[in-house]
Amino acid sequence: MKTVGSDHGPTTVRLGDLAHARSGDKGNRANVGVVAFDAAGYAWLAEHLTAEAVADYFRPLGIGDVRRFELPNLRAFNFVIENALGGGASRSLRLDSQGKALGVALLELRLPAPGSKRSEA
Amino acid sequence: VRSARGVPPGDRLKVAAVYRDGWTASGMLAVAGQRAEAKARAAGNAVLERVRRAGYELADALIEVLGAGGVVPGLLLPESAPYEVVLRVTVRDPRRAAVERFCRELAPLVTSGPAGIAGYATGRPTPRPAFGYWPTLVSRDLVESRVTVSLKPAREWAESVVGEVSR
Repeated sequence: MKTVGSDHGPTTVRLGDLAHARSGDKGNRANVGVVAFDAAGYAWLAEHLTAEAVADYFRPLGIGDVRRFELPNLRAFNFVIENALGGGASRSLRLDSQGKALGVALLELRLPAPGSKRSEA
Repeated sequence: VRSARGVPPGDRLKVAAVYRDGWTASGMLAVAGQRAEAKARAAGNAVLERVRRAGYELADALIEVLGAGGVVPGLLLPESAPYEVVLRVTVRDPRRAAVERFCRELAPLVTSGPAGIAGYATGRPTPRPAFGYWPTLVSRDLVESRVTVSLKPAREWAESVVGEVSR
């Protein structure tokens, strides 16, 4: 799969190469848990995988606000995404009414690679 | 565990309320051939248009094309155009008759729609009750707590609950 309208050049890094993710629902909100593979990756993601970056990525789904919670002892983040499920698990018409695929979709997010000009900007 | 701290319980309790919210139905058909995604979308729209011409404006309807990026819509696309996809059409409406009409319109795509559409069985859905979910808080003093221990086989228990719901 490829992401819509994103830069796949050598100066980007795929989130899935740094972390694993799993997602689910709570009412009309989705949770996406992101767990870094190592401490260096967690430190780098703490700076670059912002709530804004996640919100921009999921924007086409018509989502609301995104909040990020940090769990450094687990090298993990929890992103809480408002209005992510088309009305919520019991009411949504979507096949993925519980947002189970949002986590793996987020793994395709491209971030400016460490050391590239864009990551310094 | 040491040094754990807590706060006293709040004065309200969480209620996970579920309420009836009309009727829903969902059907899936396989769509094969060149430009399968566009064909699936056109077929889905044709079904909804036929329901409209039958006199029903559905409260809510959704066309998904699975295999063409439809599970997380608008974010991810396949590397190349898929030769086959699954068309999923889902509707919700307060009127059971409107949802029933939709159910009757979907399966005929297999015989009277464009070539290369398959799945006569899954394409004939039945209306089922739709539910809304309303998580909320109520004052603790409105709730009388009680514990009941019941020794009865799961099947008997399920039958008694289903009986209460249908009455």
